[in-house]
Amino acid sequence: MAWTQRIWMRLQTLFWRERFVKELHDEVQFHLEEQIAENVAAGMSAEEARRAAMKAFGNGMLVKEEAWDTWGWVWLEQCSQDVRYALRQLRKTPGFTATAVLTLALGIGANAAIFTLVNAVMMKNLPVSDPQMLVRIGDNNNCCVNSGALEDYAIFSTEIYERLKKNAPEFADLAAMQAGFEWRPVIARRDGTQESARSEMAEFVSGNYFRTFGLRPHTGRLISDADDVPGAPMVAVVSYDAWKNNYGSDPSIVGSTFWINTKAVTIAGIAPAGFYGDRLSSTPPEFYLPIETMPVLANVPYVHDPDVVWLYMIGRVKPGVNVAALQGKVSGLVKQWFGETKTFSSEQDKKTLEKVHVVLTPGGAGIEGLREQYASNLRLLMGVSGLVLLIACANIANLLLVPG
Amino acid sequence: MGKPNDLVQGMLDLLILKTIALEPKHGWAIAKRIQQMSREVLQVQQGSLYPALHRLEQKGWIKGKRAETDTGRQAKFYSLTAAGRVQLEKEEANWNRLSAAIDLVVQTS
Repeated sequence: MAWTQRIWMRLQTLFWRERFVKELHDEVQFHLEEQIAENVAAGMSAEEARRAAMKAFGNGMLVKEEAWDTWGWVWLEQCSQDVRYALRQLRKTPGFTATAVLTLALGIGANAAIFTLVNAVMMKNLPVSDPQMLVRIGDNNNCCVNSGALEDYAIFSTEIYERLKKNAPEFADLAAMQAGFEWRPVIARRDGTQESARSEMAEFVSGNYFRTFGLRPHTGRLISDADDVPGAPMVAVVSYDAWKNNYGSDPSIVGSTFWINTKAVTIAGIAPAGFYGDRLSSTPPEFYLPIETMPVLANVPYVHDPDVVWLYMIGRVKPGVNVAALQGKVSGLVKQWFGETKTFSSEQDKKTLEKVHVVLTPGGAGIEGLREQYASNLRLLMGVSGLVLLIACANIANLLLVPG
Repeated sequence: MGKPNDLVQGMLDLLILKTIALEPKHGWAIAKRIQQMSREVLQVQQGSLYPALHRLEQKGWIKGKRAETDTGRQAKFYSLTAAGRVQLEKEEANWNRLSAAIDLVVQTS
């Protein structure tokens, strides 16, 4: 209680400075007059009494200053004096002010703009729960549908994904996603409407994709493991942005039928707002479809071909898992399974097989294609814009040296 | 260095608190009272009295309030707050201890 009152009192002295000063003045004045009266009573003349009282009191201004000091606002007062002085000086030299403000504005603006970009591309995690627990298998962006011998793998066949899911219990969940969905749009049309069909981005993902990222549907439900088995009724999840922009936020879209590449697919639900997929992309997926529907929907032969790699993997590790040890284990398993494929059957490739390995990388930011592509350029850009600000400051320092 | 009747700051606080313990007083009366009670030995410098009063008020130990004097004039009367009463007791005890200790040293050596 007491300290709130004290703060209130201090604030009063700050905001009602005039009144405070007047009261202080009255107080000192009263003291002087009492002293004068006493002196007169002691037999001094009026003039003498006044002078003696003043003398006894000492420097009245100083007393007032010191009394004011005890309230602890001196620093603030001095600050505001400095600021006012600075503003007066700036107003006196409009040319200098304009130049300095413009120079700084450009420098700061450029930095802010570049940093926004750097932040979005290089620093932000995916909008998913606990992104720091996500691990990506692979450290490069080999795309999209591939075959042939490699050493450092980041892209895998469906078979390897499924075997790894079973054999690596260190992952609470291990999800796989189509590496090159950007190259394979689908034609989609809502059933029963006059809308024309349009080309949309669709990503084929494993049944546990959304669970691995810890996402909840905006409406309806997300794809589950049961949807990702051959012969299951075909379902799709619409991205929130696509639902909003392409389908007018119509809630009846959930449960309706879409013709995707001329096949009937039921919309199971809408992905949460803000989720733009597992990677930063200029064309984020509008539909998410289970991997097992791909042979039918996309009419591709490679989904179950052990010699074709086309999936990225991101897993959520269980708490306490040693990622370095896990990397060794996954590398061993992957090498073993590739050894069973035709890919490494020639003598030449058998030598390569010895070097097959994977590198586990933080998966919180998803598939970091853009990041790896632009990281060095962005760093350079950030450095350059920093220099621009430095030059701006140097220019202003120079201006200050010009005799005004 | 200082004049003989200079008061150490802590002592001035104690004297002010003690002086207004019985009834609220204005600055002039406080100075007068200290002077009288000490039989003219202690002269409170006005230069230190008012800053001290404001400091004590800021600490919440005393409270200033405008009121009329006997002669019908407006003046700021200072009175002790509850926190000030506690502080006064503390400072008195402190002073007793200190003066007794100084006494001991002065008497024995």
